[in-house]
Amino acid sequence: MYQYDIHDQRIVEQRAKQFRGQVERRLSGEITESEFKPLRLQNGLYMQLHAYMLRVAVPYGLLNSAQIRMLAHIARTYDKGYAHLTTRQNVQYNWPTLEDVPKILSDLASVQMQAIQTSGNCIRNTTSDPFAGVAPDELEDPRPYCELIRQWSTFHPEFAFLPRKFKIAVTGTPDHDRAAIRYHDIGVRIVQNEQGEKGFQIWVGGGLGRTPFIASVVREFLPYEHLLSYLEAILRVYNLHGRRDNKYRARIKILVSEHGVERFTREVEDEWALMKDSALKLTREEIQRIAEQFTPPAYEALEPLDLKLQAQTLGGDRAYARWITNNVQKHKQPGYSIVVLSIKQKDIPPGDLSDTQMDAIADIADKFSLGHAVVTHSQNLVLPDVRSQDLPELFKILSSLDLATPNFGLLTDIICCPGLDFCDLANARSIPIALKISKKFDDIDYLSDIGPLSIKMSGCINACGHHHIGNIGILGIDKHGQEAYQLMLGGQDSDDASIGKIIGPAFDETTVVGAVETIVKQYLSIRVSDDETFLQCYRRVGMAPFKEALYEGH
Amino acid sequence: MKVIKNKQIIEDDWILLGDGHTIPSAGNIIVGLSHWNGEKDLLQQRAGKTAVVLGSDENPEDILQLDRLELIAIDFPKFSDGRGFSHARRLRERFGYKGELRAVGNVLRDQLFYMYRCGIDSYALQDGKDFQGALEAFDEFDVTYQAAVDDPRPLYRRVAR
Amino acid sequence: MYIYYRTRSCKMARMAQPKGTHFVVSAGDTLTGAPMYMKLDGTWTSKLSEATPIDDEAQRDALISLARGQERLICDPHAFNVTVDNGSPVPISVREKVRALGPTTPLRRPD
Repeated sequence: MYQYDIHDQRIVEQRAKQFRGQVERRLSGEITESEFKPLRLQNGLYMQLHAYMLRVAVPYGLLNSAQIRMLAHIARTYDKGYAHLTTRQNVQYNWPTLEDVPKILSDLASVQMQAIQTSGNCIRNTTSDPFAGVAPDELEDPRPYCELIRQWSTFHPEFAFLPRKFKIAVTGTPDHDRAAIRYHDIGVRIVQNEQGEKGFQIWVGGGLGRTPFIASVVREFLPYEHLLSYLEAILRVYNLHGRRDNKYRARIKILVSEHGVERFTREVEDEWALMKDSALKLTREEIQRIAEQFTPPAYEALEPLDLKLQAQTLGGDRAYARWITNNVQKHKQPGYSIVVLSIKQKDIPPGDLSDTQMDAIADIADKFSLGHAVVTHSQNLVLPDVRSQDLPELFKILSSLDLATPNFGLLTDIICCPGLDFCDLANARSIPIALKISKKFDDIDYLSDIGPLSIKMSGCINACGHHHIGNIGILGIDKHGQEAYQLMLGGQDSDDASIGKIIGPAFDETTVVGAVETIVKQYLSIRVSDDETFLQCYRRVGMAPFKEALYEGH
Repeated sequence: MKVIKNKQIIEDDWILLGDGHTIPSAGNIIVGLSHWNGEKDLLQQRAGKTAVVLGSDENPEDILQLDRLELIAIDFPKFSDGRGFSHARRLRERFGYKGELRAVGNVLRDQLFYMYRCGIDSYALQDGKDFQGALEAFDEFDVTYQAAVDDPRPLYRRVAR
Repeated sequence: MYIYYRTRSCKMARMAQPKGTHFVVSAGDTLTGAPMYMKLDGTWTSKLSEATPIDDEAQRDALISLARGQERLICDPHAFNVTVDNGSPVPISVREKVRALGPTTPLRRPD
């Protein structure tokens, strides 16, 4: 994990001090709310329906146990005893007061954390694969490059007032992209050319929201030393030419669409040609300095363990067996496993963790996962380095904390935004619907039979719940002043990217769960085999059978 | 114009002329880009210097005879319009402009440090704003990560990390 | 029962929505962000039931203007539509209902 040196530390401390000054000037009346608003946004502080909301940055989702304990402390001391995991690997607090936020930022700085640029029209958190560094299918660990991008983008003086927000994601796998790079403003994929040299494939112009777009490749192979200069060229073209006349047409995806990929690429390459050999060119030493902080830990030399066999020898505990099947993933190191903690608890908003759970997770991370955990964009938590022999004991402890639900990647592993219960932008509440769906489908055997199925839900068109790219997407809308829910099918957030299609007229809160159930039942009745996933089935048969099941014969 | 320059508050005699104003025969004036491009010879026959204000939607490459200009004002029509930062950098780094760059328009104290890093020398805050307090903006950060005009080296090329 | 929602008739749909008989002036508390509602004397309360419903648009606009000068206390003053039931304002929109009542989901796992 990247450790701050004195320079990194100084930057976050000076930032906390600067914000303290800005808050004082706001409270004294020296600056107006409209002058203060962009400043507080650049520190991740929103005003929502009931309170302020503070979004803490978790670069590429990676946390150590000291940081997790501090997040628990902040929840307990300044908030209502819990925190929320977001769809960009960050952490949010829903109830801080304005006066406390400078103290929170100081507390965060003491554990090398910050809330810099987590809102506002600037470069946001660079996200990545939650299995980065430990996945067996990884070509190279993307995290050092995420850290390089983080430092380059933090307080970048030219790009603090972009036409709109800007999101970058990096993946290190040749396929099975787990960072959704095709739906980011810039997606970076580590690749290898025919000469065996490693470099980057650069995607630009993906995004969701009002106008969902899948990104286009603008550069097939970028030598590694040019990463930052190329990003700088893209950002400059965007800063200069992105639309500023219409907030809903201001993202880079619109610029790429309006100029066309060829023209946009030319503009970037022309700009880049003039800066590629400047001091932006990365040195081997700098990449090495950062990469050294991500070298694999001193793993024990362990024999690989047959997990299914291990499960059987434990007296056939079915709950444990299910957990092994769904939530435990292969690790690149023999004898180790990646464990996914499902933060989708009964009757609790998806992605919410109490302070006591966070303290317990910090201890668990220390005992079982070499002191680290990772926030995923599906609002779950990963323990990246668990010895397979420890899995039974870990399962017991997680079960006692309600963190062992074996539903990773299954229907009840729902991505859900905060919605109208919390968010100023929302048209409809989303959390109650997600909880009702989870209740309806709480039989784990049934869930396993259904197989992989992603439900993603947003309370408004801003799509923070990524509803466009769920296998089943649910969008909350306002209809005659009432909440209503539009369903869409067929979204996919990885290599085989697709944007979901609306199935038909919207449902209300009493009928939407039944509609989901009807869709699932239809899938089960028409799939060609148990192995055909929902998405595969939909792509084979199309919308018609599902539409028919939902709307006709009633 | 009252500006912050070299971490001091000064009053100089540059006047920002809006379009349609009659050009005074003397005095230092800042005119719009198309006016300069169209009338630069005439303008320079005046007693008094002429400078150009670059709109956020205009381009530095469109400024004719850049090196005749002692000063270029960069307009920030809304504080959210960040194009001026790119214009300043390109004027310095691409076109090698050596004269004074001045931020005008909706200039916020909390943007001053970024403007400075992009190569802007003087800052015309709006009337009624706290110029004295704004001086502190330049000292709020003494470490920066990335290359910019003030130092074209990223942090790791400036210090041992 | 399935509700049909036609995106094109969005405007018509909004006209069909009951508009309410009164307004309440509201804002966010500067310190906490909590919803605040204006009373007849121009002071603020955190309880919607204590807010004064206003039926005059000019008065509403004047009160919002007044509120704009109170940034040390509150932010983003605005008005929303209500009906009045036994003297108490009842919001028309789901948004303002949720805002007044608080989140409709449990906040935290019971320890």
